[in-house]
Amino acid sequence: MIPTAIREYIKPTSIQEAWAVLMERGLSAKPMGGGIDVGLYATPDLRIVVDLGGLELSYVRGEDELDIGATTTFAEMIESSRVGGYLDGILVEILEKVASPLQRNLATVGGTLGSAHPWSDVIPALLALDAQVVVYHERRQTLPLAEYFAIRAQGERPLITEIRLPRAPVMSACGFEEYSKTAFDVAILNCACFVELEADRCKTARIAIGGTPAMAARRPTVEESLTGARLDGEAIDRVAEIAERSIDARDDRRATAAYRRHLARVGVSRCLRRIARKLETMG
Amino acid sequence: MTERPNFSIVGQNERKIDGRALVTGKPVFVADLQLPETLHVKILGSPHAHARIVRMDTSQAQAMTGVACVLTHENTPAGRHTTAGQGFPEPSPYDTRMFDDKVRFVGDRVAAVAADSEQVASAALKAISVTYEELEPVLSIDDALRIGAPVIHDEDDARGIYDATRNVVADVDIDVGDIVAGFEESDIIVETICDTQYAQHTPIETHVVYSYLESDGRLVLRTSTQVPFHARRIVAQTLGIPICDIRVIKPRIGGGFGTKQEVLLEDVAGLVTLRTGRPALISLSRKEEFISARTRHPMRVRVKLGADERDGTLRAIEMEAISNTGAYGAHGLTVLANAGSKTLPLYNKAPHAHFYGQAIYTTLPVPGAYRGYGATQGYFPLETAMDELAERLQLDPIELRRRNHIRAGETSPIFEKLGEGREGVEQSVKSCELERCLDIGAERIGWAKKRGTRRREGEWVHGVGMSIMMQGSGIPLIDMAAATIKMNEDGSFNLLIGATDLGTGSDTILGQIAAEVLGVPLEKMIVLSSDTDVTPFDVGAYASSTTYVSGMAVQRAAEKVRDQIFDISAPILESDPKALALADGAVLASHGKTLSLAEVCQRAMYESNQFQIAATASCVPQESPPPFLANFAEVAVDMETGRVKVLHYVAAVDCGVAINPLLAEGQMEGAIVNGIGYALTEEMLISSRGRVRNPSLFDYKIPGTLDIPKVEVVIVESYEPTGPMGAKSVGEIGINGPIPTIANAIYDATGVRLRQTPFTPERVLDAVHRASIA
Amino acid sequence: MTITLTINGIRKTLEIEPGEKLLGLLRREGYMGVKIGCEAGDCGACAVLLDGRSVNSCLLFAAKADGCKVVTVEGLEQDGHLHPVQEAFLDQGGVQCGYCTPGMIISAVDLLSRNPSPTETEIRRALSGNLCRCTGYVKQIQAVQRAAAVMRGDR
Repeated sequence: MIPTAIREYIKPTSIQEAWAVLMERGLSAKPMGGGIDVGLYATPDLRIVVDLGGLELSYVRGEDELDIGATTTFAEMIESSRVGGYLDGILVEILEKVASPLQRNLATVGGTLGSAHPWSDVIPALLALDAQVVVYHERRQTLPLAEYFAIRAQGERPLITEIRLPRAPVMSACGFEEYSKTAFDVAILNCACFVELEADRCKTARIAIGGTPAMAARRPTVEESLTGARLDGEAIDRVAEIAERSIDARDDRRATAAYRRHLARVGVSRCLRRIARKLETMG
Repeated sequence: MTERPNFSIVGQNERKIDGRALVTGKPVFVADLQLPETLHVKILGSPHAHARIVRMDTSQAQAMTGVACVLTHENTPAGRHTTAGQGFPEPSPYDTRMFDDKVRFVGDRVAAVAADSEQVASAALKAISVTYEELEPVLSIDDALRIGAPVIHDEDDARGIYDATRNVVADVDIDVGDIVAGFEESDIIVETICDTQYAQHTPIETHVVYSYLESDGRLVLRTSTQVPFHARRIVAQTLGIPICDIRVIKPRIGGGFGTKQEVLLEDVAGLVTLRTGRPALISLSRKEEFISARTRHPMRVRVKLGADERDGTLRAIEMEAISNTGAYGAHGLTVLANAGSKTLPLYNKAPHAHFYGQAIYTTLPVPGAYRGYGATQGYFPLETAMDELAERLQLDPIELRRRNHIRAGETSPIFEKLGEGREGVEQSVKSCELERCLDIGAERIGWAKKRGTRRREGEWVHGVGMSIMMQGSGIPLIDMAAATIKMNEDGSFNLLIGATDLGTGSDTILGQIAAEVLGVPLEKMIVLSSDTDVTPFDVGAYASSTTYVSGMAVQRAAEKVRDQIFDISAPILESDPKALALADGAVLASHGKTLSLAEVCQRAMYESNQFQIAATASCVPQESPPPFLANFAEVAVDMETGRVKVLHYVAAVDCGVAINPLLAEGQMEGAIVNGIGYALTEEMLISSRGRVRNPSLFDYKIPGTLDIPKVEVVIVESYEPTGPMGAKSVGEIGINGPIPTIANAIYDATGVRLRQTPFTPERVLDAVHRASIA
Repeated sequence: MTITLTINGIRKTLEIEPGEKLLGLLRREGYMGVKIGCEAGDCGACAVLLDGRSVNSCLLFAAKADGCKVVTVEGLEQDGHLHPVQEAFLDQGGVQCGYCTPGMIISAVDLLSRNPSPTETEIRRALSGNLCRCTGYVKQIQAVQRAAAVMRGDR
């Protein structure tokens, strides 16, 4: 068995207790949901794991909006009728293809955000859906997801307790594309798009592209080119081309930069076309 | 086709006799043993692709609490051997030392530590300090053949290397007729060069050995191996101990596919046990399996075909193969030769043929035996070239094959000239149902409807492709298998066979053959296999030999036992022994009287003229009758992303008589899916410093349940008169199909020919773009 | 540290290392049906049921199984009778080397306990985290279909 330096495993019963341990022990401590990534990527510095499973953060609530507790597993989300009813079940569609069913029984939505994998399918989806996270960072705060990552990039480690998705506007739809070698594989490139129409034109466009191989991020240049336009073939082609030109792609052992840029164009194009078809049936 | 008799047990889908233990998770695998005081052994691998070990200091490691033993080149036997599990004398160079003072690939063995726990062993590895003199790595065949290239095997005690100074392990050059004249006579010439990649078997159980001392002090190696007897001999040779002091036992093993036709870890475990007196367990982690086990031989193969333009009959076939055999030469010569010996005879109409090949050392991970064994690499360009030739001739690809493939009653001069080592054995084909395979396969895939239509469905464009192939059944005149059968007084039998069941079900089908001859249900045949103390010799599971060779040994042993039973029964039944038969657990006389087998054995064991009813028989095959296969695939290509999806794969296979059709189908299905991975997604990536960049199943992608097409295997039986119950073999041939079949289907769909595997979306898209510009 | 859990119906209190995974604990306790394939969650050979759900025991912290019900392949047999999934694997040729088999069976049992009439796609998806190199999956999928029919009482 692979050896580990972990010497303590605690399961606090309050968020304050969890936070106190993480603060006190610094980089030698890590919070865990399912524990998959905490175990797989444990470094010799990691001495104590803090299981958040005792904090009652496994739930899916909300009427029109969606409030998902941080330790809710992917399997629980897939089986939740609330999640299934949100924006045509887009999250179920995406989650059903993430990792493997065995991992989906353990992996948590908070954990996946905490791991911040560059190939994550969940992150671009939540960015496109304008997700917010409720975090504990000395006290509770609600932040846009992108801001959570910005804070993380500065070395802070706010503790996610809940993911919030806003009420989906009536004339809106979301699409997702990812490209990988086999089905049980991480993305070479992925993209999530969200469009809200008003009087036949794009009132809001949110486009997140990830796996470039950098972690998913919103693409303002791409979004701007769609805002205010009709969602027709010509606009989609134009937007897709901008996506190809604008993303920060690099070569790695999974794919070349050039291919990733190409996939960004194809992915955005296909997502938007699918969204257009969905919106058509609604309209 | 010779008439196939009616069988009662052969031809039935009997449940695997080890099946119940496997579905209930019984502790039947190597590492499922738990002996007290077991030492855990970890191996230190080289960080460099090519280096000399200048200095080693293991004192800190040795001093650590819980460390029982540290092995390096300084305290282990120095003789060279091959790790290839082949018949003696092995056709592979003796270029491997147990621990060498030179390392030749990243991950090459530097030291081993045996300790009370894995944790301590890993910590002790880190405490070993090694000073290396780095040498120039050799990371490609071109680098290896360059003038002034480093000599990878510059030791003076290696044997069997063709030309070590030029890094050439093996060189094969075989001529039939006059190839130059052959091409001059041809109206149409087609030439193609194809490249195959580093790929790995990835058995779900990695290499693992558990060694311990028997109560009488003999060394027992409980190992995940395809070659127990070769392992015993090679360990004896390596450690310098008598063969009779070693017992090798193969329990259930978790897949091999060729990577366990190798004596990889047994010497280290054995030596640890001999030196410490304690049991020792070595099991490779998945990462170590990728880096330091065995792989496919990457090959560049050129095929040139010359044909008559009137009817497409081949006049000349030339194949030139350059094989990368990595840091050590195990299986280098034989895999190379097989690229030609298992492919060229298929098209025996050509009077002129030429096979030329070399296997070259590089300082890269070590290829070895892998299902298909060179034929896989050879069929890619051969069946691609045939497809191209068909197009040039404006002939249906199936029709071109029909006009050229070998038939029953025919021979090919290649059989005699090219075997697995050098020469082969002359033979004629006695069973071949390839025509029916083509008929059935074409119909099932919908060939006539689909070929050439390029049907579009959204972003996907569809195409169909086909290929045919043959393999062999064992290595003629070289392989030997034996079986012992003894009878028990309740009418049951013990079948003792050296033959090695890697999960293939050979215990079951060999039991079926014996049960058929002796007229008993399979439950009355107690099979024990692969224990060098108890079971008679068998070369092991490779070269598709088990059904054909071991099966014939079993059949012969059963017939001898049957004759003993008849000799006892004849006077009791007042019958001529020749007028007796066995069925339903009894001896039947032609006049109607019967005697149960239990009664027969009771008499022989306890009552009169007592003796043990038992017999041993052997088989050395005189030929290697090929199974034949026709493959058909429908693919869809996403023209925007280059992604290739196989939708439907049909394999119509003539394996002779299928002893157990369900198990035979299972062999084909597994080989096909493995071949699809090899064709589309599997690729070991090597860095510019010779390091494997993706040594994990996370990064090296094999097919899963969501990746497989509709797979249809149709067994098209023939009756092979030289085979046990008419059987040939089926273990390897299936894996050769997907690459050329899919390549040909991609061509049908897109008009683009791919000549480098795997056919990744990037490669497909690239080829499509270049074709559209051209 | 100590944990208390139920393994195949038997309540056990066991000493564990805080950082160890359930796979090592189970094999140390003699449950050899739980296999080591990759120790990274990529192959599924180590699958066990955790409160009825198939999980990679190589990824699960043993401490996280405290208070849970774990079922390994050894726990599927009842009074000498095989589980219908085990029977079906034997019957349909779904077992070759048998190394991926325990994990594959566990994932199938998970599926059928919640979805008695799965489509072929649902079966494929449920087994998509269990890799096999011997069978090509064809007869394993057929075995699950067969087991589902038997469990529904269709045959």
